Amino acid sequence: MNEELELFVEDVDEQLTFMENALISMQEDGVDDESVGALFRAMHTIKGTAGMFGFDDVVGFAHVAENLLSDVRDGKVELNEEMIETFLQSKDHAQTLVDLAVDGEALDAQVQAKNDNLLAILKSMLPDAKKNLLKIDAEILQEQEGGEKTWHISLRLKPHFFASGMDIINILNFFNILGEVKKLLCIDTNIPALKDINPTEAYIGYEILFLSDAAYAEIEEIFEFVMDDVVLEIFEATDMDMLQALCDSEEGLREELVFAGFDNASRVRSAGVKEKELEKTEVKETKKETKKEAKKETKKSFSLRVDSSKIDQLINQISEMVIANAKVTQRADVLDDNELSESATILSDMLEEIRTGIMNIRMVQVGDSFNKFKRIVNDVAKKVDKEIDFEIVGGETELDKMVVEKISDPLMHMLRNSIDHGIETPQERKAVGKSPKGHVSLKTYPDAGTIVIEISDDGRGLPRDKILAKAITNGLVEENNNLSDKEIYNLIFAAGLSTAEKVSDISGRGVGMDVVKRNIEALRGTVEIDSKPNEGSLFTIRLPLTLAIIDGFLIQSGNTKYIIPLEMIQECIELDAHYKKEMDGNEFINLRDSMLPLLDVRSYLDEQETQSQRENIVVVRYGEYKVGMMVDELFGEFQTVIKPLGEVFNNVVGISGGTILGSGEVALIFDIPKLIEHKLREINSHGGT
Amino acid sequence: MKIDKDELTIYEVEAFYEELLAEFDKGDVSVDVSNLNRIDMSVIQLLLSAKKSCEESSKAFQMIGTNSEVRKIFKESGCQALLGASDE
Repeated sequence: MNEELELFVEDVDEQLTFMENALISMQEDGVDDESVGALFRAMHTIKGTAGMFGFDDVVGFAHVAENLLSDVRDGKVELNEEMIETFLQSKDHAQTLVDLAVDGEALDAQVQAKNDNLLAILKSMLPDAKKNLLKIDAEILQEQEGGEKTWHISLRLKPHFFASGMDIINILNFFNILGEVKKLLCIDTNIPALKDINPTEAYIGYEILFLSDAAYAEIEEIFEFVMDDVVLEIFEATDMDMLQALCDSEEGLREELVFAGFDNASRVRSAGVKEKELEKTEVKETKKETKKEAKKETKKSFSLRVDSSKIDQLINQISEMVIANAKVTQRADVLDDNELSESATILSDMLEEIRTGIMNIRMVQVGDSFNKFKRIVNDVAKKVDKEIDFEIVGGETELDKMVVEKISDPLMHMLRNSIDHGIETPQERKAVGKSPKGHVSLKTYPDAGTIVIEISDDGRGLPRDKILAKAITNGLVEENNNLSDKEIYNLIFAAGLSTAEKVSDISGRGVGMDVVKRNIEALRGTVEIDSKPNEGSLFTIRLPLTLAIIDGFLIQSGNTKYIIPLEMIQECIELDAHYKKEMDGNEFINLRDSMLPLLDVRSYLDEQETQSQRENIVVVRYGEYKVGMMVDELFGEFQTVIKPLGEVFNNVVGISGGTILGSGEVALIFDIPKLIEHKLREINSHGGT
Repeated sequence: MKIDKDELTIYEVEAFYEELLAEFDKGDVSVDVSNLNRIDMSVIQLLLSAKKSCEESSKAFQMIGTNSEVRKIFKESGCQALLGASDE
């Protein structure tokens, strides 16, 4: 796919998302002008860009949808429930059309039928001429640009036009979609003789008379992608001032226009007008230009599309700078150079700011993406005849865009499961004394360096015994096991375990939850389930907030340095004689009246004994679990650039990566969730035997 | 001269220009476009320039074998009449 086509696909995606969000928000909160505007703009932009690529099916469809939306915007048609539903379908259909067009495939019978059907519905919703007549009064006529008008478009290609890669003939063809080209006059006067021509430069121009109900901006948009490569004037054919100015600007143009049948041109004076007049029109022109430009600026500052690999590259470079700066800091310490040390500190503060800034570029509010779930929930609920009250909490929480995209599918799957299996039918709910409407919520919030996404429902809960029975049949667990309820629930993440009696097209095919878990783990996240019979289920997903650099805490155990992610550290305490006595050979201490399991890093990773006088405990927390890590030395905070380790380290549980210290030494980064899991499993297995 | 390409656009226009110029220097210009199915504005513009130059130096300019595809492009570009490429 070439670059332009890729941009087009991205743009369409974005526009259709806008459209969907606007429709859904109107479904919930009623019609508002802003959302209608967004709808119109989405269809309009898709029509415009699709036209550039000659995707006629897309243009044809978008055109009808846009027409109707334009009437909605102008208050000629009322946007009702039924119409919103139609537009939702239109949105999906537009996506299909675009996909097909991009792949260069023709519409198959099914899509064609859908196309015809939707077009017929959309057209039937258009106000008929009678209604129109009733509404049009003088004021409306003045206000809106409705009604067909003849436009005069004067176009000159700038010499470098061909470098834009756009074909002017395609652009001209676009006029035929938007209206009717009455006159197309090719201006060839500027083409040099064969001996003098530079074949790669453009010399040609056009004068066009164009009959259409399109507004100025719509016509201007035809040239959206070549704005900098053409000289363009668009004015109503009846605007004699503009026509006069145009004829004055080029010798012989008036005669050519008259000859070609641009009737109004015969009514303007031929070239050689009074200076004064000329000045006046020029002033007018510049005014118009500045106005146009100002409008464009505001549009531009709205958002900027950047290839994400560029940001990744920046992050990589910052990472290298952080390492380089760590070296400087270290050197300053060795040299005992206060000034250098101060400079290095300032530099590292600034680096930190830049790093946060760059990270922020990638962050998006999850709400924008999660809103589409509302529709999926509605659709699924309808399909299975259930009533669902769906709620999104914490949509303003920010998460890396890539993570948001990748988590979307797993979430969708889990939501479907909740509705299909979790929530009971209205009758069942009434029978057990619940409100007939099921409640499903999607909640997002930041917690200790991670982002937590919770999906909860108030349905029947997971069938504990059924899961266990199935797991035993499948040989996943043994018959005489000692599993806790929570462990049993988490068995549904094992491959090939579905307890649904009925296989619906929504869920229950036994694939899915294991894929969900894998997807989440690929993002370095974790997922957990809790459930209570007849009260509902709660799925908790934890995702790391960070990408390539984390705030770490540098420690030493034996002869190796390690990094613990700072956000997970709760406190550090000294393992003094009092605690040691208390431990008495066990791996627990009593920390302010609660039991804290300890993990001896030295023995866990086979480190050698050290001469260190003191031993320390770093208390780390992940979710609701706490573990104390027994280490030797504490060095303090360290900006850590995560470097992946080779395959050799794949099987080392509890190490997620490495980093390079200022001294050139390598430090290993602890994977705290995995370590905690390991520790808890160890405790449980001891408890069992 | 006969164009043996299926498509002639800005990417090939410089080579085409050389050929056209050579043809022009020799005398009348006759371009056989029967193999051609697609052209773009850069080529049309060059043809217009050639036609103009021929007229100025009283040489003949003609295009032979314009097929329906190319005629359609001429029409869309608004240069049909200028090129003297009327419907055959």
